[in-house]
Amino acid sequence: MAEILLDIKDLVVEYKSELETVHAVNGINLRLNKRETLGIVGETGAGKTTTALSILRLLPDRVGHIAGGSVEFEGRDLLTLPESEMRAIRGEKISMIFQDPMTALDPIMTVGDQIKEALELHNHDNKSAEQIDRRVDEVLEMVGIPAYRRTEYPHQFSGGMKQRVVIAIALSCEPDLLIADEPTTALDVTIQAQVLSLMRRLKNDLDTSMLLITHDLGIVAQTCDTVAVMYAGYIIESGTIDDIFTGERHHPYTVGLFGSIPNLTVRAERLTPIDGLMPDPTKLPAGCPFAPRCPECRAECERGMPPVSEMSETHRICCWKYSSAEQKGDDGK
Amino acid sequence: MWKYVLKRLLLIIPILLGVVFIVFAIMSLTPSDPGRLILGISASQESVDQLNDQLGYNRPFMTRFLDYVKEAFLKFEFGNSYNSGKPVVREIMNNFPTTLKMVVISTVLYSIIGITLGVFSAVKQYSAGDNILRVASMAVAAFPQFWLAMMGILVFSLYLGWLPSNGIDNWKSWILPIGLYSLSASAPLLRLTRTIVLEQIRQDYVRTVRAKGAPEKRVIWKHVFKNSALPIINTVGVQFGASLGGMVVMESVYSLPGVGNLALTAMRQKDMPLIMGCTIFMAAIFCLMVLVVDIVSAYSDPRVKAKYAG
Repeated sequence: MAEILLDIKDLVVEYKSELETVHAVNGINLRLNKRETLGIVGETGAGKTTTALSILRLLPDRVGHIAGGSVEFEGRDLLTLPESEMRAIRGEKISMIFQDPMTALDPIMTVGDQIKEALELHNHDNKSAEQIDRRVDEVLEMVGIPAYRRTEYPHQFSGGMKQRVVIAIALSCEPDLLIADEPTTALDVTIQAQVLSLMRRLKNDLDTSMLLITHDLGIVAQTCDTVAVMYAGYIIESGTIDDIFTGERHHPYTVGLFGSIPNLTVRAERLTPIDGLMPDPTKLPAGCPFAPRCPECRAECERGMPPVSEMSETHRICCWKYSSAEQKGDDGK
Repeated sequence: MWKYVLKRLLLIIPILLGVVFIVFAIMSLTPSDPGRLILGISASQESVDQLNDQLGYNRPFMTRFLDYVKEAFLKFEFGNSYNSGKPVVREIMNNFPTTLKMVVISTVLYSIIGITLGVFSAVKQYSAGDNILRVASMAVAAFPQFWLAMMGILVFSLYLGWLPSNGIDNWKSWILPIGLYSLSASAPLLRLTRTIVLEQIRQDYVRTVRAKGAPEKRVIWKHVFKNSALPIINTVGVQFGASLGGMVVMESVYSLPGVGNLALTAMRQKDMPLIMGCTIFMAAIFCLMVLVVDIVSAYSDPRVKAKYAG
């Protein structure tokens, strides 16, 4: 059995304003093994980024707060750590790549200094200034940027190059866990492929585990070992890449997601998108959040949240269709 | 860069010409009688007329204007004050040190107060401290300077008798004008700083820095504040330039011999050469300060600097 690196249990996150409460994440469970990549898939507003920010405890001040659950990292619950210990983890043990490289870098600091800052903040073995400088050059070369460009400012880099700088910052301290929040969404398609393969290579070279957030199933297929599908703050299906991509039984939402991707091998006149919109996270329905859009919706779906059904040791689906009663029926056959 | 500076310096000349023209035109439109002003009420009408002729006051407007421009811009000759008879340049230079001292000290004071409290207010948004500062700064900014100045006299000079109410005798004389000016100027600066810092603190790069594991102090001063500094420097610099031309309200309420007070007196007495001299001085010093601010921002922002490189 692989070693567990990150174990999220019953995580609940809310954004509170004076007017309303947004239920962004509603009791999710996630597990990431060492050296593996876990993909979180879902549409915009499903709570993917909120989950990622909760792990690092970087939710927006005042508004966002974690209402329950635990985030165990290497056996310690990150949610109960004092802020100073949390700071020691950020950037060194867990680091993050953000969605939009255009705005993720400080515009008036050279890229070299921005990488150096991460190294200096986690300089435990008292490396000298020269050693740190050498490491900055090394990290830049590692992500494919010539070292002489360290004295340049972010505005002198293109989008793809900026994302490389962000990756360099994230990997400079060789973290155990890398959280990548839609790292390629803001980039051109050709650059997307470059950046992705760079990330995969570095992840393997550095023995890093990765939590990859995306809405692109193609990227998941290429990169991840396990997948969790998120919808309205719930994980409605999770499993290994095989469970999700080739398995027989799926949550109707997952089926809908795959139906929305163009398929080159099957001739089709048009895509089959999922009708409707995600429910308003300020007033989630009492039953399954997907019920209003679900083609297989039945009476019990609107009554309560479905329990998690285990399809196999790795594959879990949260849907009444597979709830234990029915499964017993299946087994009886 | 030098080309840019030279271009900006040359641009000041047409601006000053425009200023001179406007003031000159307004002064010509108002009835005035320099001969009478210089000779006094007891002089005979004949000698007054004669002096007016001698001064060229009866010539057409354009002739007088061009004459003035020629004297002022080519020979730096601004004439003598009608009132005191002393050269205008010397009058201004006699008064400038008072203004300069006040402006420099109060700029340092109100920058420190306004910026630090503004940053504090933004970082602790919606806290009790922030609420108090917001209300207080709104109140201070709403009081006109002359009212603050007179209240200062009322309380500290009249009731308490701690500080002098006018003129300059010793260091105590500076406390009221400088202190109250700084107070009233720090309020809008506090609000501006708060807004700018709040805008920066919400930027994505701040999250990147936090994700590196940087402590909050470093996040604020090394990143957020540095990024906020530019617009703040701009505002303070321009205001510095504007007040160097005279802190009219404070100087006149406290009867201080500054440039602002000099200009005010000149205007009351229709002392044409002195009014012109003061106006040109204020306009020139303001233009120069704006240029200095632009150069400073170009040097501190790599994005702006790139535009002027070479």
